[in-house]
Amino acid sequence: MSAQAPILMTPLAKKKIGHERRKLFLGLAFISPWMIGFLAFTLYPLLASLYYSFTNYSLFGSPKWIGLENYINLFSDPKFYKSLGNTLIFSVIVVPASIVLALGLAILLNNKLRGNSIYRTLIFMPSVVPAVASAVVWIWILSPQWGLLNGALRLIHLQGPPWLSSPDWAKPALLIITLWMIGSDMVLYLAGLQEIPLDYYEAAELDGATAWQKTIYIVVPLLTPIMFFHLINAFIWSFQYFSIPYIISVQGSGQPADSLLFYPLYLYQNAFRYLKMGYASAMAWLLFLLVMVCTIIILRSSKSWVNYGN
Amino acid sequence: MGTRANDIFSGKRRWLLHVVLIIISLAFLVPILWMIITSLKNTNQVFTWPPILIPSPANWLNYPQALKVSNFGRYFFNTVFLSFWVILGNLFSCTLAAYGFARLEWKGRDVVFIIVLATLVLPDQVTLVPLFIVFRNLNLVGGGYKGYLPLILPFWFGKAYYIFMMRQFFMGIPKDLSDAARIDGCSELGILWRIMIPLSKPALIAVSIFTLLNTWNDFLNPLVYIQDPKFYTISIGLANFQDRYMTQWNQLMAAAAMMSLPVLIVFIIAQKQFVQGISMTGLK
Repeated sequence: MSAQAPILMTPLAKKKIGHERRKLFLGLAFISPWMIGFLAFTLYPLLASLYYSFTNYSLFGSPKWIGLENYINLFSDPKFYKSLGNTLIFSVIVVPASIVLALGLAILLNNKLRGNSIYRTLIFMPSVVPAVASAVVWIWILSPQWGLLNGALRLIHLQGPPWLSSPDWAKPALLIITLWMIGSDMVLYLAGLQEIPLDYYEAAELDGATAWQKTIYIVVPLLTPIMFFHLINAFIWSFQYFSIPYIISVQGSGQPADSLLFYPLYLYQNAFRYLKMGYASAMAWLLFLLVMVCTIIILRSSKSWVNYGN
Repeated sequence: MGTRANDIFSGKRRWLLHVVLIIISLAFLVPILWMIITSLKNTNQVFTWPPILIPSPANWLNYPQALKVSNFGRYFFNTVFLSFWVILGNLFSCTLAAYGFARLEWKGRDVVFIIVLATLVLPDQVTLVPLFIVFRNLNLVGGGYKGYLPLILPFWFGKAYYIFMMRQFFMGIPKDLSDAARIDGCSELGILWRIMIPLSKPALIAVSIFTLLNTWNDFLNPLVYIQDPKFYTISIGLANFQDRYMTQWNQLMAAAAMMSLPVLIVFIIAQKQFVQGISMTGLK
């Protein structure tokens, strides 16, 4: 078809095609840095990772093809299951908790109160403290003997747990640290709340709605697009949570008793401590598939609960 | 102050809301305060109960001490150097791409943009190993300033998150302005440079701040790529310091405070841009 096209075309149409092509080149020229970056820093490593996952490679010599061996070994590796389990459990708790907390705080801050901007600044501030600094500060606060938190608990006659040195309390401790940095998510909701037209509230007020009813029937449905965005983000983020678990678990060991051995941490250990590049790549690809599947499920589900208005 | 219709808590319950918010914001503030308080104590004052809340006299010496033992000044300089090149590259590549997606019409644009968005959900760990191998084969892992290239280069070739942010902003700039310039014979690059960029200062500031924050914050990439202690970034420096001086809480807190203060200062100065930047990516 394309071979015949020029014969049938009027000069005007030809000019139009030329014009279209010029526009295409211009567009591609503008995005060319991104395209090179996409090929070199995303697509190539993604495919190379798949290749390495079928090899045995320790950076010395060249990769040796071993077929499915890495995957077979993974599925009989207790630490693989442990790290996957840790990541899944933590995600399932931290993601809903951060949505509820961020939304709740935003609703509290959306009232016209004196001093509101001070409250907002204070709640937001921890989210800009660098991760490593936060982790170091919290190790001190959570210190079983001399830490501020257990000291405060003693004041009300409670014996605080050993937090980061106990396999049962390490994850709750990480949850506290993580939720402390919720501020930037809260701001998302706050921005969304400020876009809700006042008439909506006024109408509800005329109907005699209570504070709780206003929240459930007006605020939450109108914020579902933001909740959706936050859900996807938080979820993917929780699957690559690395720096704070690394610091609080003693040099990235995942201790105590592997309770902080999250999937990215175990992947890192395999790649850069044991130099098992192939094995780590197999983990990377499983992570990739898992994230894809979960993202698609969330996207699909969004039709039934995300309200895009008109 | 009167109430508005969107005030969920009205009338007499407002004092209750104040109480709740004061408690919550203090809970968020306390760890930062505790970091600063501990950083000003001498070693005897650290392990006392009830805790000393206002160390007097304040022991400022922890700061120079921490600088001396951990080479923090050097790490500080390294991180500023690294951030500069990362921010510069990011501004260059993401404004170009954002303009291509927001203002130029070309066949396949929307499909390509979906690919840009799709890369947002790709975890860093998926590409980490092959990228490390490539950079290692290029002899860019190890020592010297060239050791920063694996951390800098990706930003010169457009990061999806920032492209998205800039595109959102560009789409909000009225088209009449660029149309008028185009009629006057201005090239697309000219329109970007003379019209869009001057009008996008808030977005450019937001992108710069976020990039700075992320570079300052980044732990995984420097951990993987930077192996010469002289070239450590501040986050690797602090992590190492924590390993070696685990119980010197006053000096550790001084080091953590030194790492946090620049970012907190930027945050306090540019809070508005922060908030705008975050809402820019989340809403539309």
